[in-house]
Amino acid sequence: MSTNQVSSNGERSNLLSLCLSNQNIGQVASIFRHSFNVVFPNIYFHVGRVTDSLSCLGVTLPDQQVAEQIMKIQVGDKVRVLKEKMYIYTSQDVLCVPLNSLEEVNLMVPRGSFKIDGGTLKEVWQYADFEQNWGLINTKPDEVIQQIIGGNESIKKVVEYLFGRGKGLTPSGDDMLVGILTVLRAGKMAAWQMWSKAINMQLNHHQTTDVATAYLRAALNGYASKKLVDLIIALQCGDSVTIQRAVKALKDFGHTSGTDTLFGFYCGLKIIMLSE
Amino acid sequence: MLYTVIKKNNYQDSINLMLLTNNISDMPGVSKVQVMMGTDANKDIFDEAGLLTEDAKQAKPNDMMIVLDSDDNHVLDKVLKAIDDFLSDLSVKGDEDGQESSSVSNWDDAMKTLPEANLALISVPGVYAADEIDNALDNGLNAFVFSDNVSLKDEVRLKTKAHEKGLMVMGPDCGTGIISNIPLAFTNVVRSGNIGLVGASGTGIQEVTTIIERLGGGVTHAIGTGGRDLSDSVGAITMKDAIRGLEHHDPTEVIGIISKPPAKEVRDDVLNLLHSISKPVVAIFLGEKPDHHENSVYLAHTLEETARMLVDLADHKEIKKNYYPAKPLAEVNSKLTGKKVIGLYSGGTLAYEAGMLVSEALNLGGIISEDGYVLKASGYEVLDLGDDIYTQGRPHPMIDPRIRVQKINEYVEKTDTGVILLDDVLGYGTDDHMADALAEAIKQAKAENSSVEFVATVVGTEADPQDYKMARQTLTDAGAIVCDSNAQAVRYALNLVGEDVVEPDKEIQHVSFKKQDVADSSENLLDLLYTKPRVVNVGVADFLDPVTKFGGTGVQYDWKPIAGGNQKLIKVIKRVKAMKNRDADNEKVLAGFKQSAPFLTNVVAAGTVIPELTGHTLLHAGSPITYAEMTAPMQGGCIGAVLFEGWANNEAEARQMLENDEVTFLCNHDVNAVGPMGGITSAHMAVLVIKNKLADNEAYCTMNEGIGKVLRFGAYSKEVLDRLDWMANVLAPTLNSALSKLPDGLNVNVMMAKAITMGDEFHQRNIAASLVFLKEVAPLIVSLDIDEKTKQDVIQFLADTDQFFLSIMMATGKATVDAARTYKHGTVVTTMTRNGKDFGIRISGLGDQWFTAPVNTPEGLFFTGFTQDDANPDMGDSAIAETVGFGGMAMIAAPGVTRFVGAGGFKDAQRISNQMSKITLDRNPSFSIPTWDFQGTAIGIDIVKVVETGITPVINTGIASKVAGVGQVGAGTVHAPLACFERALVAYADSMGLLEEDEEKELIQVL
Repeated sequence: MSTNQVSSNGERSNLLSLCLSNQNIGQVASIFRHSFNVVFPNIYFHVGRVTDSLSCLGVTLPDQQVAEQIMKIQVGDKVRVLKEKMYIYTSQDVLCVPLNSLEEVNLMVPRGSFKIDGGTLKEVWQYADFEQNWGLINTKPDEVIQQIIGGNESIKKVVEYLFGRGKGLTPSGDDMLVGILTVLRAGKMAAWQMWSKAINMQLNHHQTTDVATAYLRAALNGYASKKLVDLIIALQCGDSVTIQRAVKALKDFGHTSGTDTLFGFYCGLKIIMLSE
Repeated sequence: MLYTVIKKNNYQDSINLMLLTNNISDMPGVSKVQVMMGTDANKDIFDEAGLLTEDAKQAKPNDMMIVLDSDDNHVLDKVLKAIDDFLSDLSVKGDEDGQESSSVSNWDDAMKTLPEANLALISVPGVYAADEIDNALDNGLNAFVFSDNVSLKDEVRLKTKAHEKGLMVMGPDCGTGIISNIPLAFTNVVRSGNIGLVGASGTGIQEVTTIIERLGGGVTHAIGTGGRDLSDSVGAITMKDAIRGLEHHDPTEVIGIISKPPAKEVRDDVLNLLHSISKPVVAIFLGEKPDHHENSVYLAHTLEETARMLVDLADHKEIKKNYYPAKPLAEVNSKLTGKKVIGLYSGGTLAYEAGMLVSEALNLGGIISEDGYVLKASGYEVLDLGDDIYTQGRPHPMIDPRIRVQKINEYVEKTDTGVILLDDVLGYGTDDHMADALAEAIKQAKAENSSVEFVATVVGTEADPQDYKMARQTLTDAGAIVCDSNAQAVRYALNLVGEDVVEPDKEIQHVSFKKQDVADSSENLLDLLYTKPRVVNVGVADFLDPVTKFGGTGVQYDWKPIAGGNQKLIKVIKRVKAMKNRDADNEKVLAGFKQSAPFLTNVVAAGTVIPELTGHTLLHAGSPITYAEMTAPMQGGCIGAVLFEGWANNEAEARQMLENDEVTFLCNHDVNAVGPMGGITSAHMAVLVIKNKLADNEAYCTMNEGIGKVLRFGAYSKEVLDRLDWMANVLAPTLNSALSKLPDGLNVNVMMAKAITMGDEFHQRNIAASLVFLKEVAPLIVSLDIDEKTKQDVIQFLADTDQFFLSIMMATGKATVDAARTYKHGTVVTTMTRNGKDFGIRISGLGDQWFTAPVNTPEGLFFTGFTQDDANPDMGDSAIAETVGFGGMAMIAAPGVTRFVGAGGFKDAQRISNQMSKITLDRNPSFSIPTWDFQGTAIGIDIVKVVETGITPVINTGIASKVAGVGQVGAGTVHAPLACFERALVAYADSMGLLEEDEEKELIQVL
């Protein structure tokens, strides 16, 4: 049991205080190489490594601690939140995630104007090489961009197209929608209202994965994971080196998830630039 | 016919050759065989054995002599081949895994091995359990006590003591427990969860935890309290501490209490506490039939209901009004109507529950406890086959199915038997194939009486060491009806015979109570609950397996009763150990050992330095003894000494003189002297003089005469006396003159420090030290202004006498202890010696007082023609070596010596030395042993440790023939007898005022 192995090395999203309460009952929902998710009534809670990005839906812990916990947990293990700590009841151990001792990080998407020019955006496009790296196989990025920004399709239809599209726990289309929503909200774009309405409607009537649903809802509420927030801040500062570093960090996240989100970012920025 | 083979320049260690001789002696066709190097002394041994052939006489010291006596001329080839085979591979053929065990044999070592320990798992015989619980508590450990037969008085005392220390005693007679998901003793494997249990019943805990697991819940702690915890006398000390602990254990959200009905005051007290805590509780006082719940304390009737309510609460669900199906579980079996339900249980609480339900259903008057029956009324009988009446002298029915099979057969033959209830309890500690045995019995019983039904319950989980599903299937295949719980099984059985149980709905009633302050739990208790246990497993080694398997750590304490289980001595040990100054006293004594500064200064006639050697006085080895009491070799030494001194003209006169008590005897030890084997010393024999500069004291020892026929082994022939004469008149003056060239004499510590790294332990093996000595003294001898032949003879004698240094070491040891024991306090052994009759010791706190016990007879390897039957009982002052940390105490320094005790190898030497270090107090860094990771010799034999552990010092020794005049017949080892240490301990305790009136007499009588 690791209750008294409290580590101060780790972070928690400020969204947790809104979604996670004492006495909440959950269970381990999915386990990955370096992270795992716990489903609670109001949050799809993510536990990741401190060397990876903090999710707006979760916490990061020291890498070793996460590795040890992953060794012991199984999908279905019961989880309780008690006195600001999350207890995972595994077959042989009670594991403790000390929520209260983690440093809280504000992952509310910061709003403000972007300082980015067409040249930088082009560099992002070239660097990302979406066609090679994203998750929508056999689909041309140009065509998807046209759907999103070209105005030929209604936002509703674009959302319907992207929603749940692709494989994995966070389908590529959903990651793109998270990227678009985040950028539009940060840029205080009026279009955000339309996108969010369309996505909300889609969430209410159709299904994507639980994880994707959780991140879309977080994005609708104005929260994004740390890598996205870092990129927003970089774009608002306009320092090209910082932007490049943030772009790389986002792109490198997950198998295609980072690239897909970056694609959404790119599209959102295009929408903003077009509107200007 | 004698066959001789001389292997030229083929040197082998004498130990190897003795082993070899033993090895080939038993070959078919061999009537006698001896293999030795061709020294003169060895030729004497050959001669004694009738094996000194003309060829053998010609052998040189570096030649190996093989002489075979056989009537078969083909045998020689086979023997030679066997010799070649033996010598080609001298490695020890031992168990590769025979490494030093990680187990310990006392509390000190246990706590050194696992300093972070927080729990003792105690499974020693009941009579010793209280002491071990005390020890656990004194070491700051919680105790899980599997042992039974602890008195109620002790239980109250120990639980009170634990409570005051913030610790917990689970038990005694606690068969089941889970701490941080580690199964302790007889326990099932259950996943972790937010349910915590406290139970005064083993199988009650097992039934509830396994049902919880099967319902999808989990239990992190199931704290057993022992069956008497809720008695008036104990007052639920453990249960209340456990409840408080679980209240403060955050991952536990729901608490379950399992007990038979407690005394009213205790029940009220416990319920008051349960009402005062913040967490919901399910309580079952088995035997009570509750009709309501009280506040947030939900009262259950059966173990299954307990589990179901706990799981609902754990899942934050509402408690249901009724947890029992309204309809019967089974149709009435018309063939069984009016017949009886019989319960044959291995689990006591399961039997109790069955008896309770049957009795309630049929109004049979309740539970009894008579001759193993918990119910015996109107033909309905429920037996607890784990009751003492069935387990005296045989295994528990959870381990051995025979008693159950026997009872099944008995009841099946009865015509009114309708249904037989059985339990199969899985988990750690129980039999892996119980279901098979029960299934076989069921099949046979059904073949005999097909109308009898068997209804069974399997207490277990999928994670248990046994296969839960398979156990159920096996019983089902045999024709049994297997139910999910004992309560269901009992109801099913009642339904078959046309009866049923009625369970009323229960509502919550709000009751008033006096809210208790549920103070914080102790840090010790919270540490126990929040971490994986670190266990000192005192007793049954198997109990440690699940601890380590499930993430705990532990050390095995190979417990055996201290002081041979003598309860009175155990009390004395505890009192002596509680003395505050003893450690400091012992340290001062041992400082004398470590700071000893021995120098060989002179070699002179004994009478010149030992004033007591006047008139017809002889010195002998060991504690005081009369001539009549001496064994033959010591008597032989006396005869030799009388002849040597010229007090008699022949053996007969000498014997007469001795038998007429015309010779006065003194112990060597009483006159600053020591002597090897018989230790017989007379005024004109030469002695080595060692001066210890620490206290400026001297000690003396006769010089080593070589091997074969020598006075110390009881030989007194002319050659023996001539050699003694030469030693006194040539060797001694020469050495004395040589030593006089050194202003301070020869520094013995320096020689010994070198030699111990060269493979000597200074008792059985001194060859390195003898050579180091020769290296120092030879140049001095050469420089003397004496004739060359004398120089040549002296140096040759020293070169030929491998054990010459033994006497130097002995005098050194004596000078060391005599300086150290001037501080007359503590429990350090300052003398060990043997006189062939008694083993005598002295201890630091009691000065010159002897404590004796009959000696043992050494065992080892024997020269050809001799066997164990020829061995004289243990003899000699040479155990001074072991007294100061050499000899058997330092076996590791000379692993080859271990082979005297058989086919011992390096690991055996290491094991012996490590064992010896368990009875010593300190190390002497002056004598660092490379093969012992450069640890110093183990010094300071502590009588308390010896008596406590039962480990007595091992002495490396030569073996004398029990017939006078024969001399040495072998070499080996011998253990000191425990009794002299026990007597010393009693006397010490008495001298310290630690014994009550007449206690010493009683103890001495026992000893």
